[in-house]
Amino acid sequence: MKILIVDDSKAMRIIVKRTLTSAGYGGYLMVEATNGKEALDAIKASQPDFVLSDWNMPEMSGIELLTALRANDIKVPFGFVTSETTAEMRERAKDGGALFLLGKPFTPETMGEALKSILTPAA
Amino acid sequence: MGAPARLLAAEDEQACSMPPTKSHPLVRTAAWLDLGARSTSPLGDLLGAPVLASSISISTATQSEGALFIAATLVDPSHACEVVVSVVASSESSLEIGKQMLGPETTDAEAADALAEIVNVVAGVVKSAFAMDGFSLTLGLPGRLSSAEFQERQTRALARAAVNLTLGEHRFVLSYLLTQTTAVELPAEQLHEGYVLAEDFRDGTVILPICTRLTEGAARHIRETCRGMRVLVCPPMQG
Repeated sequence: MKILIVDDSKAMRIIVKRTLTSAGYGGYLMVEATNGKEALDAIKASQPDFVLSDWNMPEMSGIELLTALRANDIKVPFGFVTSETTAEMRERAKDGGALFLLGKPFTPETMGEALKSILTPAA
Repeated sequence: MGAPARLLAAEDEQACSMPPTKSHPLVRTAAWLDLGARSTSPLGDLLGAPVLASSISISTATQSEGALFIAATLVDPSHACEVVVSVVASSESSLEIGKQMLGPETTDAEAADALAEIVNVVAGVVKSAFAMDGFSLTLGLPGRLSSAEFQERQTRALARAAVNLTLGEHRFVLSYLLTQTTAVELPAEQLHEGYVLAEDFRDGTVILPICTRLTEGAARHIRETCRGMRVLVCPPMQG
């Protein structure tokens, strides 16, 4: 059971991992990528159970990653954690096939709520 | 993570030294008027500490020796302006903030990354607030500014506001500057050292975030690999 965390900020990757653990997902293997391109390569090599991605990143953005995944017929469950939460972006995320767009900052409760119908908690 | 610290607003030192330019459309919005309270509200969750919004006050952003300036720019091309959101903190305060967010073993580099994430989150709230008022701003990646670059933006700001905050005994400042964009679109061949990117630049091999001041090496790369391409930049600062 593996969750791929995609964020160019090391600080945010640490916070996401800590929050996932607090939300009851500490039993999952958490792997990291620092941008969309790195994530795409990692997913092609070994598909995780879930991808939790930032939106705004250098090299390849989160929405570009999602588009590339679907273009390659890779249907891995995908959610955004991002500081930008405008209605337009939510629409783009939904249209692209994301299961949710969670605004930063988030709490273990909001993270758990977003994930509960997608992943079974594993402490 | 260490014990949660209380995030308190420091006492106001002085009123904003530059009154807002009331004629600018962005300054007339509820988003600008309520900037401090709105955009600092997520900091409690981010830092694991409550924010006392009632004590938040607006003052002029001050600087200290060795301060760290991390900024994200929101560009509104249709109104030829940009909002620069910055965190200003001493290196000591930066480290304390980083430790609060990431744990006691946090390094200086990780602390700077943590500050960039604060800027990112605050700028995201600012973007959403302006979107609710009908203004569509494009958010760039956060990056570090030199003291001179921060000063230059302060000097040419049409309006500015700042929120003083303290974390334990450590103070930091959130600064918001509304500036007229001086960006022009130039052919890649004309770029040289000193131009500042007014948009994220990416060509498949090089990624340069908005607000990056081009070094001669970066400018040469763009000149040589992006012939015919037009790049949105601000001219080099004079003096």
